[in-house]
Amino acid sequence: MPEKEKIKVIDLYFWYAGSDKPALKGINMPVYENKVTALIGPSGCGKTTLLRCFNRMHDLYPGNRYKGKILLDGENILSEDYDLIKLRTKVGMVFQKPTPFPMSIFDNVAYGLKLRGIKDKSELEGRVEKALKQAALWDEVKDRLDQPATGLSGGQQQRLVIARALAVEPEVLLFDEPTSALDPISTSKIEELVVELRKKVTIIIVTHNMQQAARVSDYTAFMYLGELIEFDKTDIIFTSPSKKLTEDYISGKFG
Amino acid sequence: MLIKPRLEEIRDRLMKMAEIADTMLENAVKAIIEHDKTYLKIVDELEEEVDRMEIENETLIISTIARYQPEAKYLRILVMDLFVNRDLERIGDHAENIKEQAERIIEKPKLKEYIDLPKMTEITLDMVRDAVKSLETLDTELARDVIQRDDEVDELNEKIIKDLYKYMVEDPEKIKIGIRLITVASNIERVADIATNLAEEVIYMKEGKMLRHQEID
Repeated sequence: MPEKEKIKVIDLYFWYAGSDKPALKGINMPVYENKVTALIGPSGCGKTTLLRCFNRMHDLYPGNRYKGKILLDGENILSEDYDLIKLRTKVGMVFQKPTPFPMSIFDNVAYGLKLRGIKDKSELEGRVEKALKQAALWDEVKDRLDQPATGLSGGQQQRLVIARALAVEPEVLLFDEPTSALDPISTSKIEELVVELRKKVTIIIVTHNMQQAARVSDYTAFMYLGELIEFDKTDIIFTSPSKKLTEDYISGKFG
Repeated sequence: MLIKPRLEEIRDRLMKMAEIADTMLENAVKAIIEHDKTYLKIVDELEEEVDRMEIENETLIISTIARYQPEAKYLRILVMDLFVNRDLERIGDHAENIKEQAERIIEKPKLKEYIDLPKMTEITLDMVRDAVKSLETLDTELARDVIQRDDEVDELNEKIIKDLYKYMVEDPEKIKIGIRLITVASNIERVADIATNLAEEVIYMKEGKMLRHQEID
């Protein structure tokens, strides 16, 4: 069955404010629907920069510039008149360190829903429960939903943040090194969760941990010095990549 | 464990491949025993499939090792899966060899009523089937039982060769066909060896013991 392109990156360049050297140089790649795409490469290769283009997080700092297109469902999200609120509802993000808000577990997950004007108590309860279940956290927190989220362990906090992102039913989820602050057991829970979630959402994950990319992703993009060197099925990238640079990186010769 | 669905997929594929190799062998020998060429058609049809599956499975197993970096039990299973995959393809090859002999054997009148050949084939097919069954459930008791049966096949092979010598000495006209039948028997004997290998591979998967070139207790 042919994959459906959820996102299409076309000749994308990106400059940080004050720099005339592009941090991304002519990136072209698809992101397939309901698949996990991993962005890998050594520090400074542009993988996080690329990830942050998908929800236009770079817009938070004046002077950052994009050139090229990123089509989400065929619409260019980089165009001036693309509604950023709509974009960030469609594209959720999970960061390296868990970022629970200083409020109860329930309110953390309900936050985005309330922001969108949902006030009905039973609807809120239903959607919070659904999101916590999807994030594989429900059983651990169902009896203490009114307690502060900061009391959860790091791994639980990260799953809470994922639940919060899921509650508003995004179509795409961006993960920026989601397990680098977690212990091995929490890490493997998050990895399993990522693989499970792709049934519902399209996932893009940046990871320093090459084995993690190998385990969780369906497609892998290898980047180097702001360029996309190779994009292919993860099975192929990790057994017989077509570029020597990819082969050298995968086999640990640099990076 | 993210690796588990992949291991199951590989297992399912190997089971399907075993079924195909089994059908090929069964039909190739049946053509000779029943002196009927129509059984050979299916051997031809399945040959390509078994070859294609071998490559697909090998690719899948290698990429699974690369992606999930298995250790201990999972490493043993995946490395043995590679061997199992090749073993099953070789059973297909032997069926193909038998088919080639069968085509020529069937052209001539039947040399004799076969008695030991069907017996040898039955034991060998049972060995293959039980080896595959032991793989499915990692049943090492059954795997050990398979290994014990290899001697019976060797003995029957010897008996068939001696028996055919008699025919060939008595009537040199029968030498050609006799040699072909001996080739068939040695191919079956090789399949029984492969079934033994499969059983040893299952034991390694489950117990981490290498039994090759050893007498089993």
